[in-house]
Amino acid sequence: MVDEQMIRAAYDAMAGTAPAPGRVRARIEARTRVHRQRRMLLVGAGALGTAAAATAVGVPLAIRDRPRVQGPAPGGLSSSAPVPELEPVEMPLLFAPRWLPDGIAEQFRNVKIVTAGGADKPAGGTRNWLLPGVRYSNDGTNLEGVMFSVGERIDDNNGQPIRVGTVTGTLRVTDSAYVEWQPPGAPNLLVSVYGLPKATETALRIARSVARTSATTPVSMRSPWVPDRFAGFTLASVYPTADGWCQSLTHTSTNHRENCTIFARTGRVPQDSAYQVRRPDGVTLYILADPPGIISNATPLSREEATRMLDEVVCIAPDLSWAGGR
Amino acid sequence: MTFEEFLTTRLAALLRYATVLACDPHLAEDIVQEVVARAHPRWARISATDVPEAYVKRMIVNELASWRRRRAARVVPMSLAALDAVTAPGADPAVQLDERDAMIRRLAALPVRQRIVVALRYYEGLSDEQIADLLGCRPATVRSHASRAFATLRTNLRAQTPTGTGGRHG
Repeated sequence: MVDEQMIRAAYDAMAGTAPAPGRVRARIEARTRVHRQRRMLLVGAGALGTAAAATAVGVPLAIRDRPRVQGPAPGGLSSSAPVPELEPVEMPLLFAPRWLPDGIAEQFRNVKIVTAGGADKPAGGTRNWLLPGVRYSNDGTNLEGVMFSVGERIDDNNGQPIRVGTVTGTLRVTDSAYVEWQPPGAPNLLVSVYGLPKATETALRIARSVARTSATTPVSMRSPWVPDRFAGFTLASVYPTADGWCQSLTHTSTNHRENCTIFARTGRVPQDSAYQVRRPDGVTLYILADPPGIISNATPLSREEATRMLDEVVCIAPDLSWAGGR
Repeated sequence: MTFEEFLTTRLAALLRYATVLACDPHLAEDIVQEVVARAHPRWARISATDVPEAYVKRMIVNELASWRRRRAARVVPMSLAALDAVTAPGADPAVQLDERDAMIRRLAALPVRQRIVVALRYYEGLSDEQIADLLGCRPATVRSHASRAFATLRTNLRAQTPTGTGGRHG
């Protein structure tokens, strides 16, 4: 008979020998810096000859300039004007904090929409309030401010129990403070605070102020066609940028194994986009390239699929009236 | 959740997870570093999943399996000195410590798939169905791996010597 308790004790002891995260993180960051420098060199080469550079890194490239008109133009506008037809869809935020610390302003929103089964159903989302001068970025930069997520969870057994309303949640404190809890009959909720004074107290106070809300947020982008393997749910993100705005739709299969993201933005476009369409109104639609050598169960988009998605995606300028507010 | 936030909160847990799966902290460090570096450029997609950590853990399992293929002959004994550093000898009877250390060696000697299945079942507390989903196989295959692993552990238990030997990644 093999003693299961002894197996668990053995694993606990093994886990105790795990390397210190600080050292590993330093190595990861050093490696990332080298990678970024190599990419900057490639981007520099791209400025001299984009197609040649793309070929050099094995990235398919389909940059096209073409007018884009969705349906007939409304009266009074030239038929050559890009006027996509889309009525923004209002998606519920479900929950919102009623208290936030002074000095931060909202800069990012996304909403998660379950698309499997036909009808779109809200499943949560994330909002970021940041300090002045801090601009939202998804490139891995730590953002000083507050993040509030509905339907997101940290799946480990760490942290200390903490009371949030009528339920027991979890508090984790690193260089950020995270409060996670699940009200009865509601999705998991998560507040994180980074780079603010008294982060732990602030995170707890924000969490304890969270309540249901009937407020909604508009989604101004839609993919009429998505390959079947990405059917499941969609994450619609939007944030203001230095030169306008950026929106994206991430389509993910129900089992989370397959996903693809299509972006729309004004201004500068990342160099690692694999497929791009520039619209006459200054909006660029694009899909990023996967770096070579990644480990993934996902099936990458074919050129035909990417082209069709870019052809059919509909996007209008987002309503950013919430940006800069609380 | 940004990549930075994910690392801040989850890196320690990922290292523990990889150490248990690999039965070797040094190999775990290499694997986690490799996986995290590969996850970084596609974080926007990964973070869009319901549980990004589960996605990264799946990458760790895949990387461990392929790593083993690349370095099949590598022998990595568990470090008893490292174990002593985290467990006060006085807190546990010496006999139990010996048994636990012997169990670590037996687990480390299991073939990689069997080792992963046992670790996921007993350290992560996953069901056979969840393990099957993670490994991309059928639950029956998981049960088969587990069954063979326990048969090996039982055999090794009977043949156990008091001091044991270094583990081999089989």
